[in-house]
Amino acid sequence: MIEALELRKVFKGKTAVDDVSFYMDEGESVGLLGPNGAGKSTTISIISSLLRPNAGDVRLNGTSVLGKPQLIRQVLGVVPQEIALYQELSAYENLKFFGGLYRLGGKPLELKIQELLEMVGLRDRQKELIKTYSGGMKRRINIAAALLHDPKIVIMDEPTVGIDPQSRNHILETVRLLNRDRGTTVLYTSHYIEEVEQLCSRIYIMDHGRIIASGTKEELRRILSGEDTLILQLDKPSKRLTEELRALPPIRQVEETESGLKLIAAKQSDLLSQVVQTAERHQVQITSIHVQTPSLEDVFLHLTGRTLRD
Amino acid sequence: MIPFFKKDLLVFWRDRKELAVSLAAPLILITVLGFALPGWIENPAKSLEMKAALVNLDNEAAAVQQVQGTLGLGSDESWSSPVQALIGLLQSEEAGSFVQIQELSSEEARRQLEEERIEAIITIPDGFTLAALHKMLLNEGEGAALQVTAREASLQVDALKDLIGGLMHAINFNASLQHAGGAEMAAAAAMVLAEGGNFGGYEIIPGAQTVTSFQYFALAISIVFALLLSTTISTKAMAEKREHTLQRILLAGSRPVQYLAGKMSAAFCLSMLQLTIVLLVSHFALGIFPGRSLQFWLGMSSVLLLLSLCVGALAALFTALVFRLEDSVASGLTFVIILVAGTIGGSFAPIYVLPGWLKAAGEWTPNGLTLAVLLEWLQTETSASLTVPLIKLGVFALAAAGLAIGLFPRRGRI
Repeated sequence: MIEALELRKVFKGKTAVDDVSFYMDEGESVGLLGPNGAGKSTTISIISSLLRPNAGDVRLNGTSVLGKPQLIRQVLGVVPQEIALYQELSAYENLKFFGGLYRLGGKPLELKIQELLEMVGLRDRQKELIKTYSGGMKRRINIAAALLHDPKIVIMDEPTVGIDPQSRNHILETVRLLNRDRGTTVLYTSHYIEEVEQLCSRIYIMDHGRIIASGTKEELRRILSGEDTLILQLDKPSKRLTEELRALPPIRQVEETESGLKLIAAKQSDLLSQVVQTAERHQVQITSIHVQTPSLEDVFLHLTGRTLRD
Repeated sequence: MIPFFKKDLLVFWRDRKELAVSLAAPLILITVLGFALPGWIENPAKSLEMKAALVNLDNEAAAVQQVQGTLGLGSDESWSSPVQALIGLLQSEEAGSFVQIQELSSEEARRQLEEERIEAIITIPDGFTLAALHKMLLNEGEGAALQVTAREASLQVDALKDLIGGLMHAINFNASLQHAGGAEMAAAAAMVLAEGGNFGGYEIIPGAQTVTSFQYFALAISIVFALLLSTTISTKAMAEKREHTLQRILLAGSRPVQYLAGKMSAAFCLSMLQLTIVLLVSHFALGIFPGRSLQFWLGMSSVLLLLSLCVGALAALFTALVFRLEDSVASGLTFVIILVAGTIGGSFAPIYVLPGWLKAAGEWTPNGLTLAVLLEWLQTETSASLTVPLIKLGVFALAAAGLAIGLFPRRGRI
């Protein structure tokens, strides 16, 4: 349905997006995962025709849309990372204004507004000014404003940043509803890995402006199929222990956690005994060991050497 | 464009602080300044104040000698000097209240006139005394005449001409009295002249009315507050830039020019609304324009309509700057533009206190031009005086709107 081909964008000599290619089929829910500054928002701006790339192309059903932004704008709904709403207007007035820009009006617009307000759970508070809403409520209206023209494709740029759990659940439910029940194609960007895991069938992982891995959740996890993740709880922190564990041959990554360490290591029969012996040498007591199959977070850590929230 | 227009009006309306500043502040300022500075503007001498040079090319001694020879009088015979009488009158307290006279050579006077340091030259031509004495003593000729030279026509120059006409009439009248009534009556008349007696009171320019302080402040303040609306609208655009609402607008398929047109039309309507409210409230509360005709109100409305178009175009231009520049740079630049336009356009201080070149520069600003034309309209109500300023305001609005559209970033650069 939509594909990006070898996109490249440079701002004042700094490459924000470098050779990014991906595609989305109709009805798919695709995740774009990456830390802040990875280039996700720039990529979205290029796809949605707000930015022109220095190189590459964006195609909708095989037709390039770079020179014809109206083609993509008709079918695209974008939920920006910012609350792109008028704070001095009510939710209803905001939706009416943006609906008017899509040349909707009268009864159809009124029905659409009420339907969307119902969907995001704010119908009873539609007359209140946006500036009086909580962050989560604003984000819900931010989503509703992108759905006024029944877009076939919805791009959501970090729609759950800094909101309360209730609003977060509401938003995730809305995305599910859009994708599963209405067949809307969704590109969901986030640095909350669990959201992407819940919502998306395919995932692109982005870092430093490049796509560094892509595939289904299972395919991505298979990157670490020869590895285990060990969660250690320690009685005290020890820098020297961390350094020595990092130097052990089977260990690929060591990350400090609140109560100990998280290790990603090659599957090996004596891995556990090596770890325990090293801890004993440093007189650090391991209070618990948990071995788990790798998560997407582990995959990201493995690929980039840092966590998503770094 | 209509959704943008409605949205901008609604956003402005919801901002109670801005609303209060736009409507209450000008009304308060008009009231305070009008009461605090009564007569500051309406003093007719002040409003007609000018500087003029007196160039004396007359050879008085030769003229006296010639007349004495003609009449066969001795050199001890004397009578009042017409030139001295004239100078005495020009330097009298009454004339001095609005015309400041200095005697200069012909060349120096012309130079100062060209440099706009003086508004007019009064020339006493060669043969002035002779003509005056011939009329006075022999009743021959048309009497004495003076020349008034000015760079351009103005209310002050008209007033000076009328004053000189009055003086000459008085001098020639004295000559007639002397001729008809003999020396006694002439002596009495000469005494009156020599003492610089009343020669006509205040100069009344036909068809012109004086401008009161309240009228001046009502116009100047409402105009500058209308101009300030353009910055208010562009400040709202800063929030739109910060909150990325413009991106959402562009994603909905709207073109940047529609967004700008919305700003322009909202600023135009708000400006018209503000001017109407401020001027009408001032009028009804303070009786600023009493007894004015429908023609006066229509003329003023047409000028304010064009001013509002300029405000709309400026709002679009400042909005374009907001999207072109950093917020702080854009707001600083618009503030400086408004401050300069307000100052040289007479919005912060009466135009007549400004030097000539600054007054001329002020008429290139929409507020200065509007104020100047409305002041003239207040005084004369001549429709012809509106045509050129209205065209100038229209051209300014078109140019600013064109510049705004040219400066506004294209897609992909926002």
